[in-house]
Amino acid sequence: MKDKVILLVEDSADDEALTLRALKKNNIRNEVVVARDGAEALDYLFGLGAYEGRDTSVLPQVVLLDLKLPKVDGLAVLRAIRGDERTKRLPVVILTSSKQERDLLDGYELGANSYVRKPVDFTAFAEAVRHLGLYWLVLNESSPAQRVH
Amino acid sequence: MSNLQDRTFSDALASSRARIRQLEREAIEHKEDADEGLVAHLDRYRSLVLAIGQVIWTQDSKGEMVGEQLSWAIYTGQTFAEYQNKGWLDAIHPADRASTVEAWTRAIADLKPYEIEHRLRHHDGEYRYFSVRAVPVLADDGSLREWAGIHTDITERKLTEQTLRDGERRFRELADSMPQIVWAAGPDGHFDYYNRRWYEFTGRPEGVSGDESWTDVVHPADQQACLARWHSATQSGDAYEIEYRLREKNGTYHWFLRRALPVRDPAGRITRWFGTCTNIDTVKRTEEGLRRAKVETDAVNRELEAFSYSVAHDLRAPLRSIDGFSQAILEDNADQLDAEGKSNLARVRAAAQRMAHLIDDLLSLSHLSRTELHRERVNLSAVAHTVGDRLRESNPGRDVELVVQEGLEAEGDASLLAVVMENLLGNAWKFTGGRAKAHVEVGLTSIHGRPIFFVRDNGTGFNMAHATNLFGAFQRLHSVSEFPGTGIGLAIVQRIVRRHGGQVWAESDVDRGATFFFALGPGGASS
Repeated sequence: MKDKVILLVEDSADDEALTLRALKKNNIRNEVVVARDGAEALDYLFGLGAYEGRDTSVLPQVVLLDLKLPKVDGLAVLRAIRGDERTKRLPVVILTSSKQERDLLDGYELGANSYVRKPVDFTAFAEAVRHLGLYWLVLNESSPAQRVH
Repeated sequence: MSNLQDRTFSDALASSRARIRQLEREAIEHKEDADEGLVAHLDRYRSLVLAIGQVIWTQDSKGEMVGEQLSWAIYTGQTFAEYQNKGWLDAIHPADRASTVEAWTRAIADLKPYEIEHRLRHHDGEYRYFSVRAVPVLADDGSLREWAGIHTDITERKLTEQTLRDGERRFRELADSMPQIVWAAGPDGHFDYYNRRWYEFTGRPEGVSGDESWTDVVHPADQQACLARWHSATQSGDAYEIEYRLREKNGTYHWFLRRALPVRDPAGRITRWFGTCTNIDTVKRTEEGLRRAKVETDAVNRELEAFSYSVAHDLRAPLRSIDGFSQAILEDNADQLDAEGKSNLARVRAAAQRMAHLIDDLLSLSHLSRTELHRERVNLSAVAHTVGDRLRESNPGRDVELVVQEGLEAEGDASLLAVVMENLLGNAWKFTGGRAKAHVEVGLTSIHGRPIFFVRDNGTGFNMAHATNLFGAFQRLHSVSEFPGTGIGLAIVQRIVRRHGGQVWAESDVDRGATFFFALGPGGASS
C-alpha cells in the first residue's frame, strides 16, 4: 500500500504545503505527486508530456483534486478520469473551498468518490485529511468506486 | 309603372266611381225604401276603403277635388267644403306640402303619372306616411278627363326603415367611438365596412373598404400569415385571433390583436364576419421589455453566482494560509515563542477564521435572494421541535425549557422556513445563556385577523432604541466576547420572510427577554 502514490492536483503552493503538512501529521507516508494544473494531472495519469513513458497501469492510491485549476479545470479532469477505461474506477476526492461550491457540485453527476472542504481552520483540515487517509488508504481499499460523502 | 297597368288602374277607378254614382242614383230613385239598402252599400264601401288601407281620389286638371271624395273624406275627416279649393292640402303634413305641390305641378304640366311620398293626417289627427300614385285619365279624344290617385299607407314600412336606419346609425356611432378598429366582411371574406378608427389610423381614403388592398398596411413580415389565417377562416368558418403589425399613416408599425367572428343564420350558414383590431403595441413592448429585462436579470444572476463562487474560493485561500501557517509556527516553533507571542498568533488564527465565517455568511445571504421559492404546507411546530432538539444536542450544558404551540402550519418554502427557525431559536438559546431558568416559546398570535408567528425568550433582551437596524447584515447589539456571532442571522431571517411577502419585527427590553414576530404575507399562515 505504501508504494502507491497520492496524486495531489493543486495550483496554490500554500495549499500544497498545508496539505502535505496535514498528511504528514496524520502519518500518511505515501509519496505525494503534485500536479499544478489539470493538464499536468492528466499527463501524469495517462503517461503524456513530461510523464511520457510512465507505467500508466500503476494508478495513484487516490487523487486529491482541487476544482479551480489553470489550463484544465477540476471538473474537466474528473470527466477525463471517469471517461477512460484505465482510470474510471480511480478514487477521486474533490477539495472544495466553500459550502456553496459543494452545493453546486451536488447538481452534477460527477462520479466523485468524496468531497473534502478545505477549512480555514487548519486543525479541522488536518482532521479531515486524517479521516480521508484512514478511509481511502485503510478502510475502503477494497471497493474504491463506492461513492461516499 | 307601365301604361297597361295605368290603364287597368284608371279603369278600376272609373268603374268604382261609376258604381258609387250608381249607388247614389239608386239612393235617389228608391228614396222610400232606400235607407236600409244604401246604408248597407255605403257601409260596405267604407269597410272596403278602411280594409284596404288605401285612399282613392280624383282631381281635375287644376288639382281641385271635384265631386264627392268619399274615401278621402272618410280617412281625413275633411268635409266636402273643407277639401274644396285645394283645401285637401291642409290634410297633408305642413313639411311635406311644398314637395307635394311641386311634384303635382310638374305632373300636370307633363301629363305624366307621378309618385311621391308624404304624411297625411287621419281624422283623429295622427299623421301617417303614404305613398301617392296618380295617373292622368284621358278621354277617347286624348284630352285629360281627370287625375286619379291612390294613397297607400306605408307607415309600417317607414317605421321599419327608420328603426333600421336608427340601428345602423347607432351601430356606426358605437363603432366609431371605439378605440379599436372594427370591420365587417361578407361570407366570402370581402370587406365591406371599417369604422372611423381604421381610416384615421391607416390614413386610407374614407369609405374605401371593398378592395383587397388592406394587406398593404400589414407589416410585410406578417402579411402571409395574416392572409393565410383569414382565408382559412373563411373556408372553415372558425373564429380566430392573430397578432400582427399594422402601419400607421405616419409610417410606424403597431402591434394589433385581430379577432374575427362569424355571424350565422338559423340554418348555420355564415352571413357576415365581424372583427376588431385592438392596438396592443404598449402591451407587446412591455412584454418584450420584461422578457429582455428577465434575460438580463438572469444573466446578471448567473454572473453574481459565478462571482460568489469565485469570491468563496479566492477570498478563503489566503485565510487558509494565514491560519495554517500560524498553526505551523505554533506547532513547530513553540519553544521560540513566549506566552504573548503564542497568544498573538492565536488572535491571528481567530481573526482569519472569523473572516472566513463572514465570507460564508455573506455568500449565504446573497444566495438566499436568488434561490427559487417552493411553497408548500409546512408544519412549523415540527420544524421548531427538530431545531430545538439539535440545539439541545449541540449545547449539552444548557437547560432550556422550550414550549412549542402544536399545530402551527405555514405556507412557504420548507427549507427556508427551517433556516428562519434555526436562526430565531439559535438566538433565543444564545441570549438566554445567562439565565438560570431559560424559557423559550414558539407560538401563534394574530393582529387584525392576520396570523403572526412568534419566538419569545426570557434572555438578556436589548434596548429598542438601539434596534433601528436590528435586521441589517452584520449588525450586532452585543460584543463578540459576550455573545459570539457574525450578525448575519436576523438579516437572513428578514430576507426569507420578505421573500415570502411577509414581515418580521421584534419587541424587547433590556434584561426582560425578546420576542420576534413574523408574518408570511396575508393569508399565508393559519393555525
